[in-house]
This record gives sequence, structure tokens and C-alpha cells, in this order.
Amino acid sequence: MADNCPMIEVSGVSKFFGSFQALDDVSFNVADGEKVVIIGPSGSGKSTILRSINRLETIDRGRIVVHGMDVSNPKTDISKVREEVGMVFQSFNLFPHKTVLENLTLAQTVVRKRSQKEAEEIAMELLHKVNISEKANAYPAKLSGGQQQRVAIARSLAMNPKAILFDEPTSALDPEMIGEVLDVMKNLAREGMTMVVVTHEMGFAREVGDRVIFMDHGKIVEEGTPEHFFTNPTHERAQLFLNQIL
Amino acid sequence: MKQDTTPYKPIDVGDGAAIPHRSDAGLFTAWRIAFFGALAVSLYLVLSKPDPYLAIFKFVPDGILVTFKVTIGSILLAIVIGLIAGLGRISTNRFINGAASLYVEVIRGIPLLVQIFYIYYALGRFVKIPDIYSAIIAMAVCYGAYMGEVFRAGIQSIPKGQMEAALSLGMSRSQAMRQVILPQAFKVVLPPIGNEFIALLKDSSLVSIIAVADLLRRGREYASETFSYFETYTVIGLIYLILTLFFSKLISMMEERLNDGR
Repeated sequence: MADNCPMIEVSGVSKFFGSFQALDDVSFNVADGEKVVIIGPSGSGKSTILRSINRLETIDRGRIVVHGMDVSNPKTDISKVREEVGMVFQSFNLFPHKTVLENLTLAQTVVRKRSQKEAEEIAMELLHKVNISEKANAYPAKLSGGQQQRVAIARSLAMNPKAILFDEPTSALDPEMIGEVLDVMKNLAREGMTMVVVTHEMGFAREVGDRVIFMDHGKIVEEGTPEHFFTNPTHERAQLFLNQIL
Repeated sequence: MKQDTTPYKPIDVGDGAAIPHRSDAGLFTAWRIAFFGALAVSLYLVLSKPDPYLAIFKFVPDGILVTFKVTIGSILLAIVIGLIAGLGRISTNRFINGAASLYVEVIRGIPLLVQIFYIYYALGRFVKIPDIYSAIIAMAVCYGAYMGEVFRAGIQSIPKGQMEAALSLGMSRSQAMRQVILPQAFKVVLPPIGNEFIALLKDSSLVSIIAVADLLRRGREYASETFSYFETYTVIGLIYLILTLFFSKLISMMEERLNDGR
């Protein structure tokens, strides 16, 4: 792929919450079509860096460029970036006052200016894809967590994003529902979607990730292929982490 | 699987206008005793001593109508003002936020009766408008400040993730507010708005001070002609009691239906 122009470019990013340094000189690139998995203990800054990519968090130092748009420049129209970069949250964040179908059509009509009919067609197609079309007219409260998260993924796909950020997409799910969400994500990966995934699912990281980034205390401690990371991590902190969770 | 994790945090904005809940057995029973008791007492008075009481009941209905007009006009205008004030209070723009906060603090610090006088005479210096509009504006400006706090609390009770999800889909802040946050916030603020409505219904009696012929004013007119002060104010009190109890029940029924709906 066109590695000379990465989809997401993070360079020298630091962020403070008061005197606490959440991110410390973080740099990495994500190429078009690449799947990058970010792992690390809680409080390591992995969610913060992910949320910085579409400016849900602002950064104090460094630069983030997404698809040629400088996210770190306050003058950049961040909506344009967010139209191109989807996000899937740990807590799903479906709109509870709208049906599943309306959850998928809202941004299409409001942001992409598609007609209601076209938006609904795209929405139904995506609901088929994530295997939940029979719930199109249900309200999110009637859905299980796994179903809600699949709808949330479809909602983000409806905008035809160039990349999707996943912020611990399975952490709020009951164990028996994790698989159905991971399956949807694996399918997406196979279709070539650019993905940045913060997760504790090591099996997923190993199977799907092109690259694993291990963070601790706001820094990238180790970075490499899943093969390298899971079998032969060089850094002691990464070894310790793997021992604890595997 | 039905998730019982409703995304709404209950908000608690009250001013003493109690709306009975079925679960609150004490208040619910008290509501019944008060409401049906007031009806029974009214009926008893009219039947046993029609001389002053029936006459009073016949004299005041156009006052009730004016009370309704003032209350409904004020609550509608107050909702509009309150929405603007509430949005202003959560604005990140320092000037807008400051202006909205100043409005809320100033208005909450001045008694409603003084505000009614003030707006009546201040407006009267510049424009000639009917007293009832002056009364409605005064009530709405005052209640708009309280309503602003209700809206602010309602908007802030919607989980942060909702705004984040909307923004992540490329929506602007105002699109997200209109499409995602406010429709949810309206459900949350409906009960406190009901409370404000009851409080406003009672406070509307204050406008009788500026020549608006509301229920209390009509009572005063009748009493000063016939000197039957005790009987008149008994009737006025009973009518206010029946009205507020009736509406508080109506509002609690609407709330229950709203909760069943989801």
C-alpha cells in the first residue's frame, strides 16, 4: 500500500490531565488498510491516544494527521476528519430515542446529505452484513449488548469511513457475546478496512493485527508484529503484562 | 435481553410543588383526601349556604379563565426562555455563558412580586401593552431562570458518550444537540417542568396586584363589594387547591405513561 502517505500519522504526541501525563511522546503511523492493535494495562494511555485521533481529546504537544488533514491544528474542520474516521465505543453509545434503523440513517442524512430512501437502503444492507436486520425497527434498549455493539459498528460503517477506531469494543460485553462482535470485526478486517483497535482480546490481536503497539505509563513500550510481540517481547514490562493475562 | 441500565440519571429539581407518586403511599393518600375533601367541602358549602357561596362560585369563573391564560402563556414563554438560558449556561463561549449565568442569578435573587411590579411599571414607561401581557412577561422572565436550570440539569444528565458518538459521526455540535441530546433531555425535564407548572399556577395569583382580573383578583372584587371576606377567600383557596391537585395528578399520570413508553 501507499506507505509514503499513511492514513494516520501520530508524531511526538503528549497530553496532560492537570499534572498527570497521560501521553508521553507517542509516535506511530497507520497505513491504508493496516490493522493496528493497541494493548496495555489500564491507565496506560491507549484510549487517550485513540480518542486524540478524532479529537475527542485535544493534545498538548505533537501532531496528528489523518488522511492529509491536520487534527492537531485547531483551525482544521474536525467534522471533516470525523466523517472519514468512524469510532466504536466501549459503551456502544447508540441513540436510545431512535430505532436501530434511525441510528444508522441519522448521520447519513444530516452529515452526508443522503436522501432518506438511500440512507435506509444503505442501512438495511449494513444491518444484514452485521446480521441483525430483523431488529431494524427495535429500540436499542431491547437489544443485548452484543447486538447493540454490532449496530454501533454498522452505524459507523454507514458513513463509509476510510478507517475505524475501536475503543475497547468488547470490554462491556458478557463473555458469550464477545465472539459475535469480534466476528464482525474480523470480517471488516478481511475486507481491507483500516482499523485501530484498543482491546484486551489477545486472540483477536494475534489473529487480525498487522502490528501490535504495547503502551504503559503513556509511552509506547514495544511495537511489532503480533508474532514478535506474543512470542518474543523484548521489553520486560511487556513480558510481565503478557504473563499476567495469558 | 432487556437492559435495565437506563441512560438517564434522575434529576432532582424541586420547589415544593409535590406531585404524588403511586409508590409514595403517604402523599398519594393525602392527595386523595385533599382533592376529594376539597370537592366535598365545596359542594357542601354551595348546597347548605347558597347565599354567599353559590354567588361566589358564580362570580369567579372568568377569573379562573384569566388564571389559566396567565399560567399557560407564562409557562410556554418560560420554556422558550429557559431553553435559551439552559443552553447558554452550558455554552463554552465565555460571553454567552456569563450572560446566561448572570440572568439566572439576578432573577433568582429578586422576589417574583417585586419583578412583577418592576416589569409592569418599567414596560409601562415605554410601551402600552395590556396588563395581562405584562403579567405574562414578568412571570415568564422569572420562571425562565428556574426553567433554565432545569434544562441545564436535563442536558447534563445525558451521558457524555451520546455527544461523543454524534460528533464522531461527523455531526456538528449544534446538529448533535438538536438531533441527539435535546430529544433525550426533553424526556428528563418533563417531570420538573410539570413541577414548575404547578408552582407557576399558584404564583400566578401574584399578578392580581397589577390589575389583572385573575381568580384572586375576582375574589377580592367580590369580597370588597359584599364584605364577606371569610367566605370568599375560603372559596378562592378551595378552587386553587382543586386546580393544583387536579393538575399535579394529571402530570403524574402523564409521567407514568411516559415511563411505560420505554
